[in-house]
Amino acid sequence: MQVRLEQVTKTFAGSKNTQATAVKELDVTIASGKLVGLLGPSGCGKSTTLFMIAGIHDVSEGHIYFGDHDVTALPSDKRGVGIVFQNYALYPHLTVWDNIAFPLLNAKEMKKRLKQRFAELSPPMANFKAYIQRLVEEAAKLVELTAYLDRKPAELSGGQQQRVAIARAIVKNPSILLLDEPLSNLDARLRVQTRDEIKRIQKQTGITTVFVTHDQDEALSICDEVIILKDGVLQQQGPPQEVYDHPANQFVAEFLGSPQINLVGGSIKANKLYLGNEEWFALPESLSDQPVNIGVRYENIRPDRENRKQAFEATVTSIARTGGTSTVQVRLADGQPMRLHRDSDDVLQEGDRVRLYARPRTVYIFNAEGEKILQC
Amino acid sequence: MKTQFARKFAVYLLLTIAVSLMLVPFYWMINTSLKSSVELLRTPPTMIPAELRFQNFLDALIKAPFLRYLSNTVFVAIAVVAVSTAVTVLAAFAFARLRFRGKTLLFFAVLGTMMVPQEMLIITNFMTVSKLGWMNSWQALIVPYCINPFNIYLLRQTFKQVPDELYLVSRVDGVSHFRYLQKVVLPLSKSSIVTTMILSTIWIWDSYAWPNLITTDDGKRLVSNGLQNAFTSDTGRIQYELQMAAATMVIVPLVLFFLLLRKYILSGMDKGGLKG
Repeated sequence: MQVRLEQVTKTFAGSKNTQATAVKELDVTIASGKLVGLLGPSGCGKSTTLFMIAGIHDVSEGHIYFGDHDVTALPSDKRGVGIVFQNYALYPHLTVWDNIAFPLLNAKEMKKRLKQRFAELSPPMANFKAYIQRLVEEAAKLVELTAYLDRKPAELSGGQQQRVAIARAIVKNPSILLLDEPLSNLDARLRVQTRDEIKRIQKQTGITTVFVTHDQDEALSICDEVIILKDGVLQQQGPPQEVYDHPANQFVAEFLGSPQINLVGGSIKANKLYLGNEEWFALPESLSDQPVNIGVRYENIRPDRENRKQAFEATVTSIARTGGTSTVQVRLADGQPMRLHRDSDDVLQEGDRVRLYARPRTVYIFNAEGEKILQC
Repeated sequence: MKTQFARKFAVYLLLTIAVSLMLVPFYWMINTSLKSSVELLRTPPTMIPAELRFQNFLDALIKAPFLRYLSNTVFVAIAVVAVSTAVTVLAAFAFARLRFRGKTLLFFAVLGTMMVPQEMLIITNFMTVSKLGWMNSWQALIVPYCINPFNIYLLRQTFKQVPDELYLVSRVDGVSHFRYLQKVVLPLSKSSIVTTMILSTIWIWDSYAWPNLITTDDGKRLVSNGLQNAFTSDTGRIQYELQMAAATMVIVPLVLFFLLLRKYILSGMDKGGLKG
């Protein structure tokens, strides 16, 4: 189901009549059947946005639509969403089976709907209990936990617990699946495994899924689309690679990508870009003279072996070799540092003078306010 | 090494003295309960009865309506624990989870009643009960014990420890408050709930002034008051050996109760399987 947020604002009442705005006039559309990442640093309003979609938080202003249906005033239990929390929120005293079956057996509306669906089953099933059993087993199978149905949560690993939580959320066949930092409590290896699981489960079920994370790696690797927030304000929305290659502003450029993008001070004078004090290349568009920040990603800086006009000089200050690649730190003529990736068998030495270059379309030029003014 | 031993020795010595002091009344009670009425009056008192008179226990049971008092206390205790546990659980859940206007104020009001000594309320409660015409009634023995602010406070704290996410998940899943309380909060808070039940039982078992005040009818007397009045001989002498035998019999069930449920009292919250 498509989810549409229209001018959604959330303010929290602080102490002494102050108000904190967590989300500000957010306009986003989440396409049906997609896995969409809500991404941003902590406190950017991404979890608040998720909770508003879930109906856990009220919306201060604006509207939320599921399909054509305005759900802004609808209580959370009527929205038909499934939710998964960072700490799994499993019922610790119940087995995996009981945890997954919990929403089916303990919610009045749900049970009524299930009974109806049970009555209309074709071929009909012998009894309702067997039907519940089948639903639970289907969900368990989807998350590959069939062998663990009798265990208590404490007897499972973190990744398995999170999969139980996912099974519990999808067993009710929700129209939207909401995941709040589902991987943050897992160790690095499990995190990669579980995120691929999430991707697989999402593709298999086709449920529209919103995935909150502060980890750009996670978002970039599994999401169909990312929505980047900062201080409750939408920064950019789009497919991960698109956003990575064409960041809308300095914040997005800095936030996405690890290691973090190189940002070097420079200026525009007479329509020429200066890297530090050194002239770099002529701009294809005319822009007014101003100081700028120039962003170039590590992988886009290469040694110039063809004596290009658009190369610049630098001195190697250190080389950190890490397996197959090494990170080379250089100093520009005016002393500003910059880093790039090289193969480890490169023959660079500390103190070497090198000529480097980057293709203009991989160079982002930001003004003093952090807005992108040009990407050739 | 030496200092550590000395320190340990000092601690154990102190604990031994404390335990001995605690046990003196119990020892004296049992000692007295086994003496004959003659030996009882001997000075200096004997530390161990010359002859163990278990007959005292039988005499105490037969004498006076002691069994009747005991069954009254058991009945009142069961009624109080049943009603007050229900009230406590519901109130604690409301204070821990629900959102309503004036919650904090109301909660402080409940806590406030904890600060007022029970003795101060006896007169006003007595007026209320007598105006209701509840003198010598079961209600008068049960109703005033049904609201226990300390237990409400204790359970509220326990319920608050159940992570918010469990509540939010069940809300999103459409589980009602009552179902959530029943299926999630109660099983997770079992040990604390048992603790409040034990505290309620001890409270009613030990209460003296209030039941004494509102019951004049022997058929409604509780054992605590019965002990005081029942063992006076025709000549006006208090039959201490019988009284102490009866007191022993009153205390034993409570001690057993406590020992059996000690696991619950000490185990605290059982909340495995939650991270974060």
